[in-house]
Amino acid sequence: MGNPMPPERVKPNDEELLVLAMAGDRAAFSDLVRHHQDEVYTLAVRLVADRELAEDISQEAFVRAWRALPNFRRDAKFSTWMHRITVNVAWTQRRKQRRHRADPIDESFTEPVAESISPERAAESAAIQGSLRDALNNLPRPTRTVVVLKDVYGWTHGEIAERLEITIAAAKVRLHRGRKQLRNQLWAEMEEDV
Amino acid sequence: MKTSCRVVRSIAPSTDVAGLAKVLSNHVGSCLSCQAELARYGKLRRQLASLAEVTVQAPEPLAAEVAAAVASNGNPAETEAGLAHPVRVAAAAGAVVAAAAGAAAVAAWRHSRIVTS
Repeated sequence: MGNPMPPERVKPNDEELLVLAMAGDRAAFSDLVRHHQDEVYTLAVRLVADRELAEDISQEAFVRAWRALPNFRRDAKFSTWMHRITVNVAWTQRRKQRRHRADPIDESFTEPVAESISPERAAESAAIQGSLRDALNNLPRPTRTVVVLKDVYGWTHGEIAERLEITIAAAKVRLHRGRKQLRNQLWAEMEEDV
Repeated sequence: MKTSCRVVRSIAPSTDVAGLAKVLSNHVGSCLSCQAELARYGKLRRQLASLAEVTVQAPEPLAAEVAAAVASNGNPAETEAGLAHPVRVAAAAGAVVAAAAGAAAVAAWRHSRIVTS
């Protein structure tokens, strides 16, 4: 008779990790960080268009989340909560920064292409996403923030207004202005397919 | 450019064909230029939405940096309790000191009035 197989260790899911982290389990929180770091970093990069700054914002967002865990009411998913915190950190950082210098744009940043599509489609997608990324980066940061949250992440105007502490009307105006600027910048490219 | 075209162009960034008023829908139905304009915005919005499926990989050290920062931040439950308790104690102590100081000031004022009269 061979040795009995050791019971397979089941990895805890986000919900279980969250319960442990809320009780002060740092290891569980580290696992949550590893599960969500890419999406938090992606959001930060899209908001600030600067990799180094996005890393700082992601780190700050997770540390704030750790401190605020006892207040997390769990009426939203952890990822949704992390998105809100990340937007807050990025927005607060922008307020601090705008007195000192213009919005930085990371020229080296390239938007990765989704891997589950054909090579031809991937090349086309890369070209379009490259142009779109450049056009997005050219938007003023307050405008870009609203466009990213509404058109990429599907937030409502109400959610955007609340998080950025602006009126719904202001959010709508920024979205309108942002889409118009993107359309003007991408005109030639879109013309080919229309 | 017709007035209807100008109206469609001005509202196109915030709307789509379904969101157009009936009178404008009738115009768009017969205006290739406005159809193209709305199609551009439709495509732009689809491209933006497709970015949600693309994830940028976080830098390697991020998780370790967060772990180090969290380690120096203490247990959030303890931090909460640890913060709440001294704040409450300090507030209570402050109130007692303020009340005592007020009582002393009143007593001194009364004493000075008795002496001067």
